[in-house]
Amino acid sequence: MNWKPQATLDALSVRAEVNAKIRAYFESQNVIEVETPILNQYAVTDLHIDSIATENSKFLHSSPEYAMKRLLAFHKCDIYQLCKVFRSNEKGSCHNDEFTMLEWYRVAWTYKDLMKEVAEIITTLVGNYLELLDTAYISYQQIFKKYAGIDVQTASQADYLQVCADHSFKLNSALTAHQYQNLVLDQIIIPKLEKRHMTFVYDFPTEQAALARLNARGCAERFELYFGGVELANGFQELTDAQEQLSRFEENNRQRLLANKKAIEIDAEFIAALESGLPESAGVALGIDRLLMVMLGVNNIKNVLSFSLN
Amino acid sequence: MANYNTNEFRAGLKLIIDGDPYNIVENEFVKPGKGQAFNRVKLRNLKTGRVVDRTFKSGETIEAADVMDTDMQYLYNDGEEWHFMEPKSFEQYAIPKDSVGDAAQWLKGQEDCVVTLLDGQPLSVAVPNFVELQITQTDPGVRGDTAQGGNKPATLETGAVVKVPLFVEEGEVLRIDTRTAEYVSRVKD
Repeated sequence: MNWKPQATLDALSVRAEVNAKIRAYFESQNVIEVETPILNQYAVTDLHIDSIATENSKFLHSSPEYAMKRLLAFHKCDIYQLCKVFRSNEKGSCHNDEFTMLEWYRVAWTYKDLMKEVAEIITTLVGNYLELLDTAYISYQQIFKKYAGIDVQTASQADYLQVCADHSFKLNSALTAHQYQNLVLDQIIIPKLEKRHMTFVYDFPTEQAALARLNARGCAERFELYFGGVELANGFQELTDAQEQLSRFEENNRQRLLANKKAIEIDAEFIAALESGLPESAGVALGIDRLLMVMLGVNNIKNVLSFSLN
Repeated sequence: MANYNTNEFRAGLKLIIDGDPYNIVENEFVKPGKGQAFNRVKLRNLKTGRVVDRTFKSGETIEAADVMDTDMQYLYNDGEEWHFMEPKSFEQYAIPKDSVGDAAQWLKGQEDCVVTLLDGQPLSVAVPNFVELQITQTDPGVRGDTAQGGNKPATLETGAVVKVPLFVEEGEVLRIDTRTAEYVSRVKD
């Protein structure tokens, strides 16, 4: 019987230190720590995120986003949460179906302000563990041009297929342009980035807007942070338009049905909160386990978890 | 026909891809937080032994290969086919030379092998890790040679040629590691 922990005492201590520093930082900034329910009535409609259902048809949250935005809509102040989140069928060297997320919202901030705060926090946290060389900010369009020679606005499926072939990727079946973009960014571009740079990618294609506001340039005001070869954070200029949000959820459900997945009941309480008025704000979620992996220089998430299911 | 979903992928699972049977060597789940998940898989072709990379969209289903490893005893060959017997049923299988491949050079008779069957048809043969074979030809060792240093080719009774230390003589029986085709020791009666 293998009952022993996967993480070393060193890894457990670094996690404790990171948690403490995060709480100290937000306290100094007057950002309130909140707790929202792990067990929820609604799942998310995201095409590529499957919630874990419980026996009584409730769901474990895949992120605290909707509940935190309901707090934001009512109390209109800066909040953060450090919690466990759950996603079905996500298991790999950088994935575990249960993981720790730090999520926070800044009222009246822009997503560009928030990127800078993410960079500051990470610089503070990793300081004693590794050498951070630089912080780069690059748009989604630029990063595809620079590292894959692809113009995302005009590229055809054949262009993406060529890039995959050039990098020895043999696909078992054809992909949509959107799926190619996911694969190329995650598996071809990120591995080419300097691991000791924090690289922020911003302004995503509108089909990947998720819960981000669209701007006049036809981009979604969304950013992601890549560091140490992994995706660490995802942030938005929050979409405040309830109607637009509802139609995105409905579109998600149409996509789910096309992919032979079940449609998900839309979170009416979240939509009602947006109708009452979400303040202009920026929010971000950061994966703590992956940050610990980078800090400790380990390449399997198991090494930073006390225990995990097989 | 049985199928596997990508979320069942693990090392050792056997699949049919482009009509050929494959064994999963390594399976890595990758996924952007909000994007499409993929399985990056290393697969060994069970016919050729070649290892290839393939990327699957997570959620795809792939035909399962009905592959079974069966213990069989090697009987004899006629130059074209190698004949094996399943010891419980006494059923005999004739395996073409190409499918036996390099395993043939270690077989003289009665070895317990593992024959891989695909849909009941022999696909490949795995010989025991160690076999004992007699030397039929090797040049005489130079007098005074001891265990250290130097080796020479020796032809075994099955026709296989292995490198042996200089002191080993014609007619001796050797223990051979079939995985590396290397001499292990002399076998004394």
